[in-house]
Amino acid sequence: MIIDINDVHFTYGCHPVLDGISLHVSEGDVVGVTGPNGAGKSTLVHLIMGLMRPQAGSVKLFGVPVEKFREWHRIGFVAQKATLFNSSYPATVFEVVLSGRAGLRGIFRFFNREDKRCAEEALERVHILEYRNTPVCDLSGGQQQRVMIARALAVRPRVLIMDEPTTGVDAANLARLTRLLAELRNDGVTMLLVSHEPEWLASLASKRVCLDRKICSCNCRGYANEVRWEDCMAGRREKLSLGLRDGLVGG
Amino acid sequence: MEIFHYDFMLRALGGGLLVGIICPVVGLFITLRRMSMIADALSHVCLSGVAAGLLLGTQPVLAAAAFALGGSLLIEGLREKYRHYAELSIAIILSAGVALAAILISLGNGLGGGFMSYLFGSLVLITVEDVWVMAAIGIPLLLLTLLFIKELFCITFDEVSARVSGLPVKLINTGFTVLTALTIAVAMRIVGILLVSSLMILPVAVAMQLARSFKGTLLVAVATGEMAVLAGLLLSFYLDLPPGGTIVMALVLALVMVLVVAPRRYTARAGA
Repeated sequence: MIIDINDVHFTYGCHPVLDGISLHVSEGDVVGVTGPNGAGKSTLVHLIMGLMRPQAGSVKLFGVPVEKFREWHRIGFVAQKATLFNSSYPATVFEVVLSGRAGLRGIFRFFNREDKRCAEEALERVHILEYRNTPVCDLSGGQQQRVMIARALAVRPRVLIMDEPTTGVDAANLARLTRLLAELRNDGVTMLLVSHEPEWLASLASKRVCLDRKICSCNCRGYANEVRWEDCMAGRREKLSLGLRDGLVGG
Repeated sequence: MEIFHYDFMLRALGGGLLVGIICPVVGLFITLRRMSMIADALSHVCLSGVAAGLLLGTQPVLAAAAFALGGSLLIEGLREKYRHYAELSIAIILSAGVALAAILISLGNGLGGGFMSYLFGSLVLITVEDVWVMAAIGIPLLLLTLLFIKELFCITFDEVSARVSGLPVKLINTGFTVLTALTIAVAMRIVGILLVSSLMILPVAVAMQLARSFKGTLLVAVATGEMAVLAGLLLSFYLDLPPGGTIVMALVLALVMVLVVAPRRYTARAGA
């Protein structure tokens, strides 16, 4: 099990955001998490990445509680708004991608030949090796997003987590992004994709989860009927008559 | 050349060339993290440190370093309190630094002409002790910054990604603020408290117009800093002007030339 979330509760002040969430991601899974604004999608990602602690329940990565987890190089993370390089940011594409290996290489150690090879491999994988020496700020928004995906892939992660990758991406770049992620999926890369666009996730994810404080729908084993995500998104989750807790995504 | 026959000039050159490297290196990270105001805040804290040093009869550079160190840790502490308005912490420490300096200067009855030399730098008043203190703090500081260069670079564009890639972001942030404080304390003897942030920021502004990569920007910034220090010290010697003024004016001139001759980055892609 790569990601194992069990009965997690999280509250901002007196406002409950996540209420008994359980989610499991295994090797080879492509899990899509969607939900309306404020449903707790980004909170869920932050809990997985150890940036916040749940008030109850547990988050385990590779079987290790997240608060004790140290092997972050096994996880590739592409943050929301990953295309914010301003028009004078002084770094080449290669330098940005290579920097993804800083945590793996460790403090007081310089990048070596293997780091550079992994960065080049990652660039090739997202089809931007030709821009290796281009200043990253010279690239379009869609290309910059690829740079950040390559940066996450440079550590050869066991799972790729992307928070709202479709935000601010135009139609042409969205099609390219979808093709790229489909390629990664076909190569067996485990992914957790979080997006407010259920239709987009439906084209990629093998497991789909609709979040609205609780997991209110999923298409995974144990829940034979394909849930209408738009029902969930429209707040009509009472129609879904699915159990709301415990082992919803069993894989 | 006759200037090399003067011991004070050799001391100024030794110290100047050292700060000409350190300031742009630290300044590059300050600029990329959009924290250039922190240099101004900490230089004003140094002002109170120098005043305290002169008042108590201790080494002013060491006193300034101690004050800047305290100020940098307070900024980091306040940043936690005002997480979404981090610049408040800088403004608070800047005000406190100036206020304390005003009180200490008044207590020392103006502290005499020696104090003025700390404001704009001075060639003749740099002592051997000053140079040793600058080297003792400055050289380890430079080596430490270069050792952490990949971690500092990582944090400049995405702190969250840096944190989740396993980097001790909080420790690096605090360490970097301390580095900045000590850099200012080391550099103030040459360029003066009021102009020290210029030696950190202007070489970077020049380099960002010329270089295409991070490595290139770093090298061009250091080269610009060193050339400006050399030119500024020579002008200061021959024209009998404060070195802080001549060094910073050399940098301003370099920036204007670069903007006119090679207006590449900011202007070419202004709409990008």
